Amino acid sequence: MPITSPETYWWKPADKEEKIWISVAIVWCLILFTMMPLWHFVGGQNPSVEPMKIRPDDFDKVTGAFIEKYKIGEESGIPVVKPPDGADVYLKGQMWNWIPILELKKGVNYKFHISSVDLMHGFSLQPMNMNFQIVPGHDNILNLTPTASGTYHIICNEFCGVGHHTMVGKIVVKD
Amino acid sequence: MAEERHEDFPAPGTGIIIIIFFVAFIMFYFLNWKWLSMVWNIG
Amino acid sequence: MAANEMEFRTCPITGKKVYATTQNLMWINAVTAVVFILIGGIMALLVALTRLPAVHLLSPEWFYKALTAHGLNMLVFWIIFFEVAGLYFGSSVLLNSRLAAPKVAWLAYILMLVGSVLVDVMVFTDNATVMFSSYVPLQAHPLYYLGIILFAVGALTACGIFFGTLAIAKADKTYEGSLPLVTFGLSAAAIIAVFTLACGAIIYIPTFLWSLGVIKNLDPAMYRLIFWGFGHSSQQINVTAMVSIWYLLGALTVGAKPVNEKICRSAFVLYILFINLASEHHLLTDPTLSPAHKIWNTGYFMYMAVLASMIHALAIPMAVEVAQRKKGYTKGLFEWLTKAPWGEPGFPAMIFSLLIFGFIGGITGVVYGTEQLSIKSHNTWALTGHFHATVVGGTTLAFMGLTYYVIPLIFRREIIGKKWASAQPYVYAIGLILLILGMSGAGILGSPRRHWDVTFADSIIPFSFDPTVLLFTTIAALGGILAAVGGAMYVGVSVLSVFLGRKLAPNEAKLVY
Repeated sequence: MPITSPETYWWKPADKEEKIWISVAIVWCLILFTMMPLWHFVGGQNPSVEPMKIRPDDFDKVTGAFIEKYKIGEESGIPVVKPPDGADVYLKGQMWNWIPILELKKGVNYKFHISSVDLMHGFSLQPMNMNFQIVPGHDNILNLTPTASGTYHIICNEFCGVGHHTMVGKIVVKD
Repeated sequence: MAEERHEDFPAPGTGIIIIIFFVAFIMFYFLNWKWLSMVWNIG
Repeated sequence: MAANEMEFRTCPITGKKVYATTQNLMWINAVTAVVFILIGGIMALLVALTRLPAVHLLSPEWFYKALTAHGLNMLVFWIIFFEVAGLYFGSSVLLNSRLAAPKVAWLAYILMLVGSVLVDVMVFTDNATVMFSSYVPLQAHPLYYLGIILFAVGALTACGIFFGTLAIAKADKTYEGSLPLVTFGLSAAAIIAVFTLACGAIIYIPTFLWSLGVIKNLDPAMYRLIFWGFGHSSQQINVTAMVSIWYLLGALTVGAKPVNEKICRSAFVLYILFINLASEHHLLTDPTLSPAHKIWNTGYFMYMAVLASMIHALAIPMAVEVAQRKKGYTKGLFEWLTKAPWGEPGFPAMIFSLLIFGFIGGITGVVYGTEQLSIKSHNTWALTGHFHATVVGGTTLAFMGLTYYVIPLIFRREIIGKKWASAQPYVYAIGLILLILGMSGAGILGSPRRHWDVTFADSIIPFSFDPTVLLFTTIAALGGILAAVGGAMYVGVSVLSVFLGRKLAPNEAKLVY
């Protein structure tokens, strides 16, 4: 019984069936492990590879300069920015907006810098459903290539205070 | 042969349950890779 | 409650010595656990009624407050108080030994109680709407962090009592040979707990000082790293304790005996060695760790623990099947299962716990904890689905099943409302399955966790999900309400039985029926 001490000698070899299952499980765990490095070579989606620190104040300034340089309009009081192909793109999370609204081109690679100037936020691109943790003081650098045109929204999926559920941003991808 | 095998294995029912579990595991795992491959490229 | 340290009775069913001090300490910890599951359950109901699109009950302020309270009361207070009762049971009762330092055990209880009350008071007075994770730089009142620290110190002390009791039992030779498997599993849980609570101390002490203004800057990324050494590892304590309880329930309900002790024990050792560092899978989409680091930690470390779970996944049903077949239920592949004691609450509780944990919680956990796949699931409601499968469907349901045996065997009271007790695991499990499938479905489509309004009615930039998300949300909320009903049945039966159940005579042998 599992509630009493086992008989004195319990270090017994496993049955054949148990051995088979354990072997299958080990092989499966190795496959699970191999998929991750493999995807770095064959897959197109891998998270940030460049850990970088940036002070929230500095990030705010850089984003401000980026918006000023490439601003093409405004929507609901939020600047709309169209960066040139392949540019560095800055996206700022703050309570409770994603700034700016971005206009991108399909099939072009952009180097995204995403950070927060206050609390933690969750970058969640919909309806693609891609999610990244946005941490103040750290720059989440992502080389993103929009693969289809359309209007996408960024919601926040990390609790950031009482207005958390109103935090929505936008990315428009054109052909 | 199949019946003999049953007599060997003390828990054939558990064997079936484990196989169902393992198939479900493999399917959901690779389904997620499929879903991942459909999103924007990130490098 | 002061009892003589050496006073004991002998359990007429198991033949184990039950010391009065152990019994009192188990009683107070288990009853306190039930009080916290009641608070957490009321919060769960309020959260579910708010998530239900047709009702949308609470204001955002109250919703986030209730959600914070729900997480802390369930995930921390209910589970850990119950685990402390379980640790005292596994060391003192199963080894026929007196409990080490009962006075210190009472001190541990008081620390945990003061800590948990402090946390709840801070949350309900609007001083700590920070969620379970309380990510820096979102700040709570200093007393909130102090409450968590006191609770952790108390729980750590209780682990010390557990190890002390093991040492006393060994010295007094109250058992022969090796530790019973259940005690062995609980030892693994207690070892993991020490690491976990140390992480809790490392992160909450500076956070407490930061909330007082003594420390000016706390790196939020560093906080996340160490917090999850506490936050996720504490779930590994639950997993390990739950697996031990599966073995225990298997023994109590059908007389199941592990087929191979070596394999079961080795799997527990794998948990101790590898489960903690796997906590870094929370940081897979963070901007702080290199891919090599992420792959190494989630790969090598996590999958060794996954291997352990897969071993238990075979060992436990196999033990049940072998025991049932010995009783003569040998027809076909599944007579052992169909003729099982489905009316004994402990049996369905164990089986549902095993199924929900393994089939849903385990599989989703491995998938979402993969470096790249985390992009699809990080912080979505699917994550919430995952841990409701592991911690609620798995751990809580197993603990509930065990309660129905602890009450007659240890607290010596007859269960009141046996029919309710028998139905409870079914109601709870069905509610949970709906809840988890709803959360997972909505989450896979992108629905966020910890969110008051997935219709985004108050946003400056309009956005709405695919309507399927709302359908899944409704399913989840209805499942949550059903699970809350099941939880209420549990609280009702256990409270009534413990306080009003007929006292069993010293030699009266009685399981549930």
